[in-house]
Amino acid sequence: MLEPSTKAGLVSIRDLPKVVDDAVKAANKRLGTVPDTAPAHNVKKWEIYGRVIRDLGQAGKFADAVSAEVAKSGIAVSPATLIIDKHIWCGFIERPNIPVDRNF
Amino acid sequence: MCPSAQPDMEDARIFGVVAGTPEQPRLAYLKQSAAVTDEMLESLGDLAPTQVFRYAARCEESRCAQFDKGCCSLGRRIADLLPPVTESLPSCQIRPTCRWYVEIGAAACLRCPQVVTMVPEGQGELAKVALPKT
Repeated sequence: MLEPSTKAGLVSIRDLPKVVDDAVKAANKRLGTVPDTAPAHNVKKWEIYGRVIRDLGQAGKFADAVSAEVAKSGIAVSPATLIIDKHIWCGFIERPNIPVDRNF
Repeated sequence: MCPSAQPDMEDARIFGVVAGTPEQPRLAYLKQSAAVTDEMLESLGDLAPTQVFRYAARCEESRCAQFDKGCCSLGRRIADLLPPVTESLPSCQIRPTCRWYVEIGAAACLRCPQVVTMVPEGQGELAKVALPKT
């Protein structure tokens, strides 16, 4: 059994970015995963949670409505509508996964 | 509140960062003013948020596999099976409403910093403690 020898750490707002950065590195090492070191020129890991809908006019309203409902649960989301070929996808994207504009 | 929650649970909030070393994770507790930003969450890449942050959320009680006989069996096992890793109570935002503290008291707090919500393979003792009895 380990003997308690230290006090638990306390993180201030000033130190938080570095602590999070170190925690990400440690988690990648702990899990044996490869950190994302690729140049940030592509969009990754985004998903729209919602439905395929036929009426583009309704898509925005649906996305807004479902996002508002989800937000009531405390989950940070943004409404999203996407057209791919003949399909209209609408719903929400969780805020941490929102694609970021990049210059290609 | 559940002190080992998932980010999608009701009233979920981050109260600590999984600091320490890869071999020996230790929770660093957030001061009241320290809020995790969207940019920090974006920096996780493909990591599960629970590998970097500890979340508290409303206890799901009987909907959770750890809930047994009106109490959190996970907190009980942590207090019984894991060693204390800090010499004094951490400065923790959620203690007044923490289910582990309410049910077990300071014994849970002295062991809490070693808890990672999603236990990776290879963290033997933690993994054993995490599993409810079947």
